[in-house]
Amino acid sequence: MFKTFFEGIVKNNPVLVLAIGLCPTLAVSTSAFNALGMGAAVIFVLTFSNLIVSSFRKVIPDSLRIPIFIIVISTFVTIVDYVMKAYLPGLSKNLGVFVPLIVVNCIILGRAEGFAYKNPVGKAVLDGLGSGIGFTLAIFIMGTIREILGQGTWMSIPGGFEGFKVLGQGFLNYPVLFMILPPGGFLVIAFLMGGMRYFEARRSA
Amino acid sequence: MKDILKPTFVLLITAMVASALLAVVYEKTSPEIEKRAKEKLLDNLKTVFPVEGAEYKPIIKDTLWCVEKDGKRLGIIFVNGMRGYASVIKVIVGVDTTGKIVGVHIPKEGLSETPGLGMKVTEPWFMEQFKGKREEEVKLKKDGGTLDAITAATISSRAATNAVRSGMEKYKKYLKEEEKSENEWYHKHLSEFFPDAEIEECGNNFWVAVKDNETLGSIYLSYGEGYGGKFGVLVAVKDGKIKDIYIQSPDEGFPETQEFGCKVREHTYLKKFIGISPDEAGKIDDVTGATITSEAVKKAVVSGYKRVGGE
Repeated sequence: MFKTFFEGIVKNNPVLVLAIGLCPTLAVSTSAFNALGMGAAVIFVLTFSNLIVSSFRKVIPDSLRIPIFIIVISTFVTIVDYVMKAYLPGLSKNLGVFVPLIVVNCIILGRAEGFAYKNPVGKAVLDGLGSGIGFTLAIFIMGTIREILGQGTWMSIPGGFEGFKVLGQGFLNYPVLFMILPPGGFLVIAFLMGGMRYFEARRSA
Repeated sequence: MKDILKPTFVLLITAMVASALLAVVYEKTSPEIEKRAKEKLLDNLKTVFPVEGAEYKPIIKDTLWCVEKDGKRLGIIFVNGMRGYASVIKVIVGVDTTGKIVGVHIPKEGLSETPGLGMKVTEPWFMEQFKGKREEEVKLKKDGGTLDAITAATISSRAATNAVRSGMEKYKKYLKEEEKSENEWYHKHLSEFFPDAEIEECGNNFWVAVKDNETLGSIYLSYGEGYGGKFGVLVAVKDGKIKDIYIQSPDEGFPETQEFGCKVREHTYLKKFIGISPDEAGKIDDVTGATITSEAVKKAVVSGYKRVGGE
């Protein structure tokens, strides 16, 4: 049963292996803290939408499944959005439109349609958690690399903690700005995907 | 039939449950969201115009405040925006009564300029430069002014600078307190409209009624050209609707004829104005025998409302 859980993290990692949900991944991974916030929102939405979809899978008519999935997903996304706005306003401003856009994130609809609709509740929840954590890990690693190289800090929080100065003061004054801009995102994700393929190939060889 | 009814029913139930859930969450979070926004705003106002014990009174909602202490106006704070490189750069600016900038704040939130380049407009050194500058000095050095631009982010720097300067231009008329002529006929009527509130003068012939830092409504004075001459109309507005209206009395210099023009001052006519939006005053019927005077009243109500910006 736990195979489902770990599959979402490594073997079927949504970002690095399946290459879905790349839009928020590239846009939000400019800092490690933003990435964690986005990851937490996705884990919450994914787990609960999988839970609901799987619990009601026998009463959801086949012809109506997509509209119902979308209602369920958007309800959870809106809850996350409100709660973030009320209690984590800084993070909410930073993530901006990418929180509401979780509704159309194909990871979530993909897991609801491809897994939760066909599997029992326990497995669906584990799949949601696994895929969510897989997404968070990928985006967090990207955020870490991009923030350290592109800004010289790690885990800086907007309007709070100013972050660990990993690479020293000189780097803080002249960071590799390119890494925070969109091309840096593509570069990092390419290296991460390449790395995943390499280890996968070596393991099965 | 069953093919239609069952899906409809399922979708209905789903949508109902979802909206009920969201209503609950909204109910719980919205006061918190509002409270945060208010705190944030007050924080920003204090940053750009830090005076111990000052009061910040709104003149135009979310855009313009006057800063007062012990009933004396110290200056104004305004919010203005200008298109930058990738987003609108919003500036919050405090200006004292001599026209010098007290402070400028550019909030990071909601700004999506290029990180490391345009985003540098939010750095303290950039915002500090504006302090003590006058309207004509607020330009980048390369545009003939006194301010340093951010290296490799001229568009963002220029947008921020222009936002500050155009706001100063737009709102400078609010800097001067109107000369108070306490013996003008209308002064004693102002407090009658909002009995418990304090009446603050905010610009030319425009007053705001404030109570416990909340704006209750506003009053404006406008003039109409009647049959016998010019006369004044006071209009109190609350939530966009006319709360009350007062026309200068003959003792106060109302120039119209006793038997006709004066009828516009009667309650049976004036009550038609109460409760409607000032824009719609033109639709009200005229008083028989006093068409010119009635038209003048309506025109005064509408034009005065336009002049004060509809608020």
